[in-house]
Amino acid sequence: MYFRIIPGNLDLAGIRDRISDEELGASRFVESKMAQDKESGATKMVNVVKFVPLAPGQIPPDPTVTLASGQSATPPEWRGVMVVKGEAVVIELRR
Amino acid sequence: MANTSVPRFACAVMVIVLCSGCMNAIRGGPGSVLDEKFADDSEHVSDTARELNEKGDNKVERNKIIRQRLMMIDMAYHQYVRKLQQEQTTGNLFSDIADLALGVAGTLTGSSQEMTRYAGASALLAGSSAAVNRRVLFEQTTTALVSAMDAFRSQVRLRIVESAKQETEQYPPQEVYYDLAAYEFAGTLLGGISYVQSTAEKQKKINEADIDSSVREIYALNVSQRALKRCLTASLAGSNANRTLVGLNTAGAKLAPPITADASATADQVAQTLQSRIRDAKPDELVPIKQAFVDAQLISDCKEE
Repeated sequence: MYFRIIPGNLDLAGIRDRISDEELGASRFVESKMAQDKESGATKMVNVVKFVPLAPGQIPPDPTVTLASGQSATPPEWRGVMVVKGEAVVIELRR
Repeated sequence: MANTSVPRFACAVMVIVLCSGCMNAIRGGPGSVLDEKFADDSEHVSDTARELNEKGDNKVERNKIIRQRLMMIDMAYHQYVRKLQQEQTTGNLFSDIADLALGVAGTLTGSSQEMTRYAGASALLAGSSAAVNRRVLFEQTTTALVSAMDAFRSQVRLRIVESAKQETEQYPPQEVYYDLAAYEFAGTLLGGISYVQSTAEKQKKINEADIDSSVREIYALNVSQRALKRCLTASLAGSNANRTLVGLNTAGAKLAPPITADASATADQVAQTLQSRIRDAKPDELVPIKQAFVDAQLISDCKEE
């Protein structure tokens, strides 16, 4: 596994694109945690995302990222907290 | 001196008098049951303990009790989580959970990620600019605590299921009772918090070690770069008839810096190295990789581009 950063100022579509862009290199999203970006010098919140590499040539189905509603019958692949447009919100990732 | 000794004595007497009827509370635990008779109608003997005491020496009966109690605990737990989620919507329990969250955050040391993960309060505690509103604090705390409760329950349940395979000598009724009580506790908010606290320190070390090792931001790709990356990755799949060991090695040699594989490396191993290069490539490095792949005849072109 390895980690990447997704900035905390992106909207849901931007976050989905970044996850998808990374997965195009044959890897799969595992989870995300909020963290403070120590490198930036300021107290900026970012998302630290864990990916697992897949076999060469393997690309997972495109992800969708939505705000958690608790309404869907099917459980998401992942549910957790991410910084979206500067705010911490509970989101769900499905495929 | 004489003036202060009297109030001190008076205070000491007052404390003794006030506490003489509440020694159990001062003791910080339940009252002693060692002086009590073991009786079925005792308030300290639960139905589970009674059943185990009567039939728990028989493996089949013991496991039936375990099965029934696990089901009952599970049903009660799921009902509780549903209620918690409903209250999450209506916000009835908000202030309790928020206080709990800040309490948990305060007990975790060092790692801001962990504090945020479990309590959602680190942004506030660390003075971050991230806006964490009350609703979010509540929602993420509930989510995190339910996750912790689930994890703790799975851990205890596995122990019970494994132990139930043993004979009653190895897994006697009193151990069963202990484990069932632990399983029930694991499904409480307090159980979730204790699990968080016990795992947070361990997790923190792993997280910090991982995250400190030059973690970078994900490169944002435009539409054509996205199509190109998809095409390059697809070309490394085993199903690509053009993916030969010679082709892969040729492509690797044409990259800058070149990839030189061991003579004994298999096609899969070389493909893996090339895949890592694609994964780590900056957006403007994708075109040179494509050129190397075309020159090596791994692909004829990336038509989606």
